[in-house]
Amino acid sequence: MSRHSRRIIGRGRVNFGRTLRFRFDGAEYVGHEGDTLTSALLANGVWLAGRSFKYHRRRGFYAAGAEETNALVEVRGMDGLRAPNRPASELRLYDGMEAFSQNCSPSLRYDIGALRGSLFAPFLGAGFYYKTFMGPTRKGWRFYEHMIRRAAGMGRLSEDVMDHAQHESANLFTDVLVIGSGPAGLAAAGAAAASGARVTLVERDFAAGGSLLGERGGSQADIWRRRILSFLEESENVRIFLRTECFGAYDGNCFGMVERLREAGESGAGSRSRLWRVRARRVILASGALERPLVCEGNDLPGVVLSSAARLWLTRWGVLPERRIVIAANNDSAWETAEELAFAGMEVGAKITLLDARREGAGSERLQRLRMRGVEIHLGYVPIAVRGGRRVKGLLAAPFDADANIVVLDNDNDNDNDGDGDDGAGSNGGGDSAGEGGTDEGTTNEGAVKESAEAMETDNGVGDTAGKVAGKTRYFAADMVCLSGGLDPNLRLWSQRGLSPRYDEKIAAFVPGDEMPPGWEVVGGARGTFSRGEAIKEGRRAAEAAVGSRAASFGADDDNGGALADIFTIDDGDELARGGWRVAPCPLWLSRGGEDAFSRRAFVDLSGDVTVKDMAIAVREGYNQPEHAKRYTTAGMGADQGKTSGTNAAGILSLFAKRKMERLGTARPPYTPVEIASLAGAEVGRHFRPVRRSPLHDVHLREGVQWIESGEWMRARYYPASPQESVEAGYVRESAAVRGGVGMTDVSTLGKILVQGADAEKFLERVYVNNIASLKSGRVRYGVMLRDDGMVFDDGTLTRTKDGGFWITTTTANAGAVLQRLEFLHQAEWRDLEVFLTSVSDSWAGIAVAGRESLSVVSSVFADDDIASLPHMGALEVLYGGEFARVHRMSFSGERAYEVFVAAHFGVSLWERLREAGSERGIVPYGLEALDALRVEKGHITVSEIDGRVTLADLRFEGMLRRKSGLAVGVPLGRRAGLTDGDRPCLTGLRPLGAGQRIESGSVLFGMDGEMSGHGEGWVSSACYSGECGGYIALGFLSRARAREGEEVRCFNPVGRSVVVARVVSPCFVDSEGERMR
Amino acid sequence: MLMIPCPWCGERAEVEFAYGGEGGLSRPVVPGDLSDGEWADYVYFRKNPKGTHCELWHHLHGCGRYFEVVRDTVDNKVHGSAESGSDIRGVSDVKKV
Repeated sequence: MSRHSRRIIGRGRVNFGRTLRFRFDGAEYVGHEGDTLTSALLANGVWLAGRSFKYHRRRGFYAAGAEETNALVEVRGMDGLRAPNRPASELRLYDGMEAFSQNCSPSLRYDIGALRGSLFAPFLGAGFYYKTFMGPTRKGWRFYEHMIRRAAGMGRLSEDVMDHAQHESANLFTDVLVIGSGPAGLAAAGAAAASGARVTLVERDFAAGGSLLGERGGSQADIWRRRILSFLEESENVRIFLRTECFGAYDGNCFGMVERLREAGESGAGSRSRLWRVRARRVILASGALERPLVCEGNDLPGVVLSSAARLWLTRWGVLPERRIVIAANNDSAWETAEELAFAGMEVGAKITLLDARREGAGSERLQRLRMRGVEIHLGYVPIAVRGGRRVKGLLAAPFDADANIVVLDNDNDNDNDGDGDDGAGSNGGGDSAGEGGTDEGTTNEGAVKESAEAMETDNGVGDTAGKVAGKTRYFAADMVCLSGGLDPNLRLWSQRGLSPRYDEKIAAFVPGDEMPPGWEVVGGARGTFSRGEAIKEGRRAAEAAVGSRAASFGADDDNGGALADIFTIDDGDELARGGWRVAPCPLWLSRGGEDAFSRRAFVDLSGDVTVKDMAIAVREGYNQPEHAKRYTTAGMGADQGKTSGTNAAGILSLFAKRKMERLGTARPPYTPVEIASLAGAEVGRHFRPVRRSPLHDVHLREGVQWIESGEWMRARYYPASPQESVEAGYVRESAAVRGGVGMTDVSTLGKILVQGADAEKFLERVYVNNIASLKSGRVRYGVMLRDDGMVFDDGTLTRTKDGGFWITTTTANAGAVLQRLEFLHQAEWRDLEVFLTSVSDSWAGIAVAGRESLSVVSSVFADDDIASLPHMGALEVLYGGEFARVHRMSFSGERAYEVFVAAHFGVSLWERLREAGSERGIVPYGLEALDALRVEKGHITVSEIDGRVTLADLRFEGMLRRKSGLAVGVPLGRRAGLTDGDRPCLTGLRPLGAGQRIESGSVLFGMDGEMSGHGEGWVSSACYSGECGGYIALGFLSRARAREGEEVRCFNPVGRSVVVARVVSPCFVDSEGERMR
Repeated sequence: MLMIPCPWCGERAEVEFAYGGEGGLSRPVVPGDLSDGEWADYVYFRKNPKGTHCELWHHLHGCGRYFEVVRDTVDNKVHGSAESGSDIRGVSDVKKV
């Protein structure tokens, strides 16, 4: 067959005037505008699309929509970026497309995994992993792991290529969301739009119309599609999204949609995808129905396709891939396929054979019409096995007695072909024209149809809808086999809302139950309505119900309404209204005897390589509940999430387990795979996790800072004196400067909250354990707040401002949590208090000047005379640049120190002036590391100590508790016996005995005797080098530490598994009397 | 995703809010009067009903207010909301804002 003869001239919506070049697996092909990768490759005679996931079997194109399970390909993007797992059926062809098959090494045609597949297939049956790796043989995992990991996974990611494409996200609010643009969806959107409501129509395809896209241009149905579409396009209140996947339905009628703007390799400006968060008042689901195949031996060979796919390939893309076609079905839809194929095939001499399990077929009228078109029809026949090696060669069928539910089969054809269906790579080294692996039954069996009236003994108690065997088989040579096992309403989005469909015997499929999520309607094929006329009516009715009486106006006066009324005038006899099922389908889950009669090549779920045998094993081993069977076999868990396999798997399970029909599993978002990049949108890198910068950021840069990320903040770690200076050398130098003279550091990151209102004091008395009432204006007080359970929550300072409010600080880390907690207490617990909380963290820049020279530095910047007389823990409101500034004399380092707060925009200027004023005294900027070392020396605590497990007493703060503190948060429960136990670990200092030895924070403390196991007697919370002590020191918590000063303990570092012996000392290593800071 | 009716701002998407725990609890006025058991009940024990539930939400990225919401934990239907302290527990048809 020559290259282009697979196209039927005059069919389809492909623009032959525009040629597109593309590559698949390196080979160059030509397609046309309007093609998908599938249609273009089929037109080029390419059938092999990929390898299967588990057994690496050869797989061909299978479907024409989202239900494609075989042809998942990788699209190569700019810069070698890989976009894996894209269904070829949905890839709109573009010029220069480069696509690759998946799961193949080294190449699609010769695949090593296929060898593995055929060797291991008997072992990789249902429950293989559970049995092998969770039982007594679980050690085998270590042996097999690398092999299994390499074989597992779908597609490849580009590990070393950054995806530079932009993705964006947006919100959308709509009155009526219509999902699906088939006849029902178009009708719903049109009727809703006429009311003036905001209507959103979503279609995953790149063209609107659904099944109407398969109609000939100029036909009545096509004209209807174009008329209603142009009405919608002209309506300002309608928004149409094409190439947009509505992938998730969430609470409150919120939907996730991804609008695909470009493929990875498609050039163009702007974002590649747009994520929409949609809020809809009313929802009309018109997602249509998906066809399922019939399950029989060899039903995964390349050339076996869904009958709906074969029809669409022809009608929408003008592709008739083969000339000898057998269609096997149990329902009316396949007859439409046969009719279309026959009509187009007459010109090119195609031979169409139709097998229907039903003895009456689709009715005598249709039977006659099709026979007149040359379709060979065999009623009462079901497929037994697809024959072939690399490709389909033919179909073996047997008579089916629908009344007795018996498939009639003769003996000789049973179990004789275990060799076929194997891959050439495994058995005969490949070569297209070489042996096809197994017998070529196209010649042997065709004439060898034997008559046998005897029933085989294949009945193992299998119930109603598994055919039993009793007669003569027939063999039909074919290059393409189309299977149709019925239509399944596409209810994924509906089910995502937690609803279970019910089984409808009339159409042998699951349909929505009566319960609907609030505001929802399901119409058309999604509801099980397969007649186009009925679907249009349903869509219209649902829309009218959704928009209420406003819809009634259309058809009346206004122009649009008039046009629409015309559009909706459809006679039952019209071509547009045809379709639908006249004769009920005959449910058929298996077309062959009992479970044991099946080999491992009758596939239920192609995407996960789940066979009928796997289902049988699961039931035999007790996994006969739908949820169990699904997990044990992985049926419905593949990339397509059971779109074509779900109902068949449920049917087979119901047969084997003798249960009623129950759906396997539940539906969860997403409907089809969504790229993580689309979900992330623009929130990538720093946009995902932004950092906060102090108002002094630029000045730190000028000082040559080394940064450290601390929580969400970028903070100065240290300021290297030379490029070679290490962190440790740096902080030791900086702390020495503070102890020896003066240093300055950025404290702008502290949380700062204004507490105002008549009851501010009362409020803070309940929040802090300290006495607040006695805090005078002009004084600073250290304060601690507890959680309700008595544990320390946060610490900070309080200052009473001149206007009677309070200015409080929190730790940097807890700034947000403290504010939220205070808001909660104020708004939810003590609503009677008049309090106003304002976060002023970002309004102030703060600089601490510490060291015995600090006063002269600060006072040379602030002219205020009161600074000199400011006592320790005194606060002063001064002016800086004409605006309020605060000077607090307080010390974290243990030296005399001032914390100066100015308006944030003055931060840089203050830093520079302090720096200049201190230059002759050798002022040194110090970073977070030195700040930490200085406070450890002083025994001051930070969040390293306040880790949520310590009480006031653990921190040796019990004296802080004011006398009438019973009202304060956490005080009552803090008095519980367990929290006042004297054996609790409490704050302690530690010094290693050996010179130069260092204690690591996180070490576990043990006494000198006994084994070092368990939780020990305490832990190390902070550690550093202390210049003052001339060695490493640490803070930690040790049981009964007060009484143990002078004792030795072992510090066990579980990371390095090293032990350092340390002496228990007071947590205050320098100036324990506090003379320096006063 | 929930649509939460803030009594001050109207219906807003869930992303604007932070959950604030069970609503309708009242903090002991005189802490000393409570036994350990009663304290434990207040601090640690929360209802986890299947059905209507009164809970606090904090309009963190909005007006900053805490308020009470009655929500059905089965179908996530929000029955209504009110300023905190209104005690709308057990009310399944609070007037919707």
